[in-house]
Amino acid sequence: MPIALPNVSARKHWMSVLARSNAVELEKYWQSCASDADYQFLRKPEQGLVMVQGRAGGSGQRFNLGEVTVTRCSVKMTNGTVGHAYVKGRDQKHAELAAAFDALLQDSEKTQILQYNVIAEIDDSHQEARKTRSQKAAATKVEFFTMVRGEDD
Amino acid sequence: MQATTSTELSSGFSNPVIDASNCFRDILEAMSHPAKVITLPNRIDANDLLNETALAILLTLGDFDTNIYLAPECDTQALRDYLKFHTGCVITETPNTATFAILSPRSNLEICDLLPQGTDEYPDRSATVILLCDAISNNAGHVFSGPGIQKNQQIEINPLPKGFWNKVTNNHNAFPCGLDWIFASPNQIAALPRTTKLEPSLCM
Repeated sequence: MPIALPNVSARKHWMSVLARSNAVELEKYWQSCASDADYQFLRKPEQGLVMVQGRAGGSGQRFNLGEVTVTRCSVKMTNGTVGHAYVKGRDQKHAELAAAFDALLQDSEKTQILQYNVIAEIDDSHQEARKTRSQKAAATKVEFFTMVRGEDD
Repeated sequence: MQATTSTELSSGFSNPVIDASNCFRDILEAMSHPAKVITLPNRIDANDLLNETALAILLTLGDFDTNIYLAPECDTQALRDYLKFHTGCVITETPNTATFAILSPRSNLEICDLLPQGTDEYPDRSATVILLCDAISNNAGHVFSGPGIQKNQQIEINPLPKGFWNKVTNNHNAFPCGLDWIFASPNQIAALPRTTKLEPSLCM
């Protein structure tokens, strides 16, 4: 049997974009791009906790930052392709749709079109939102080096 | 044609919490009444991985703390993938680290000597053997007595690996150490904990 695994970094990217999306957004894309696709649950959405670790400055000792609620789900499409999703939060529909999209995206015939119509669009809107937020934050930036430090006798 | 290695994955219990609880209750019933045949409702689609009851037992009792040893006769990549996905268990290659061992009637029982038997201080650190079979019945066969059996209990298991009853007797004699057995036919189970004694050809 031929084994065709999708490019790992490409899959990482779309799984990450899907996980950072939300149920309403994914539902909209599902209706417009994939409403005819059918799947069954391999693992129904279930919630759990994941310990998030951090490093001070990105290089310090690892420490446990705290636990975050995660919902996971696995689905199998009618053609047998399996999709997985781990998403932050408790939204079961979000996990279900992210898993379904992951399965569809592995299908080589649909990858291109879905990457373009769904993943790229969601990613762009995330980037845009992020940019707006950082611009707002940048506008309130305070310059700390305005005080005279008394070195000029 | 699109095919990935994970294509063969099939689903587990349709309602994992309820089905696993009920299955656990059935296993408990079998273990507390040694040699009594318990009929299990079909809760799972086994897809030729193993028989339905053995697979249900593994889905119920397996988790990331259990090491499962598959005898070469039962060992398939599809089964490994299935168990890892649904239970998160570790499939071990070495019998001496196993908590559960899956054997078929064609298996060599010498494997049982390699499985952990527990120690006098920790007899619980022993393995449970799940032995696949075609049919179990309480109407004929060998006679057993022991805790959980009011007088004595007959059980017939078909087919069995060579030298099986000898192993059961030695296993009982090693108490408190030793193995516990669960027999799994496609729709029934029965258990023989190490406390159960094989009566020497008692006439009924």
